[in-house]
Amino acid sequence: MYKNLEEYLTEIRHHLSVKQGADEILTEIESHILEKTEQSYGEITADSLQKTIADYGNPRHVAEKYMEGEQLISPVYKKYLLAYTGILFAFHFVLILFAMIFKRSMVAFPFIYIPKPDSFWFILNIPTALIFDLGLVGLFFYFFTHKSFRFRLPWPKISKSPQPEKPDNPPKAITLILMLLGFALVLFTFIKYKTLFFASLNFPNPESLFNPTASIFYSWVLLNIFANEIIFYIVRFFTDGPWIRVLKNTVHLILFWLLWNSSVEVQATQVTGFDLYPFLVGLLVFLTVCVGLSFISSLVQMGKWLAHKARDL
Amino acid sequence: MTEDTQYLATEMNRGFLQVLVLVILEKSMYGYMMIKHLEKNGYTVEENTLYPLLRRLEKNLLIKSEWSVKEGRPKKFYVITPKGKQVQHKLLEIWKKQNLILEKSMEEHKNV
Repeated sequence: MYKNLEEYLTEIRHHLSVKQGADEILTEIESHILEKTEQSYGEITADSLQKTIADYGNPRHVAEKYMEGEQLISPVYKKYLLAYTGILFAFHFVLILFAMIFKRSMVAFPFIYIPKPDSFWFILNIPTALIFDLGLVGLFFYFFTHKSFRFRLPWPKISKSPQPEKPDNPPKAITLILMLLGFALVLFTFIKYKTLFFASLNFPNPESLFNPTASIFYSWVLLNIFANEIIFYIVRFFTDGPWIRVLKNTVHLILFWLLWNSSVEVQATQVTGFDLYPFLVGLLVFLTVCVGLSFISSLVQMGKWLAHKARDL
Repeated sequence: MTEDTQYLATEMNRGFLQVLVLVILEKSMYGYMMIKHLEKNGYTVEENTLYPLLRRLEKNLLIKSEWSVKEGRPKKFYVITPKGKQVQHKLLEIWKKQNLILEKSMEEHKNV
């Protein structure tokens, strides 16, 4: 048998999921391809076979047409797989954030164990959590697909449109210029005054809100967040897609992780007689949650975009 | 043909092809022969649509198959079964009735 035909048939066999008769199916396809090649091109050669094979179609798509019997997951559940994974991941992510904020490990069903954030590599818990949650939801849907009892899950309201969400507004040069000017101003302020957090604005000697070490550290993080926004805004001039937002939010999360896990001691200046520290911690928690939610939202957007791309193929 | 029209045409053809295959398999044929026969009658069908259909029809005992070696190559010949003929007659009755309903509906709307 010709090598290309043999490889093609092997590839179809790899994807075939019939209970019996795979050999007969492949013999029939082989016989058809050989006869069609002979009739169409006069003789059977590797080249003429390749043309017929190309016409016959992608091996996976050929095998799919023979698919019979039960689906792994019922189509009814498949369309909500990403939605439920998103919801579960949101809870899982909040627990990871708590572990990060309070620096302790946790045991919570069904996530089992969330380790204490001992090192930077803790950040890898986030994609691991997403993959785990996707598998867990898939497992539940597989179980419910193959059991005969009737039940109804509360379905979250999902947009019926198969199209992905409207893309962000296209990047504008004027916005970029303003961002760069803003960054330049902020950078200048930091270089001159060694802080971006002021308790009073008595120029030329304004009072910093924090002690010097904390001022420099927190200002540096803020500068990086700002720079991150600018870099990804520039990237959008060349290419666009929800993955850009995912990457940007990932960098934000890493910066927030640094904030929560730094050993820099913060001493907030007493302003109007009350201790600012709890307020600052509360603000940081709020911002961390916002970044976390933005990250989840960008993941869901990317999931929808990928699903839409897969449908187009 | 637009994408929507193509999708609807595929849905229409799906049912039609099943009836058509049951009709032409009054005479024993193998897959490639059937495709060429249908092409001669003005109907194009892809081979990786036809063969899975033949497998399903055989599984439902509407047609039966037999391997035979012709010109040094194994070929699977299909022919309709008695059960297949019963189903074929019923489907053709349904198709004729649908055709009448469609013509009548088109006539009514022509006069609106």
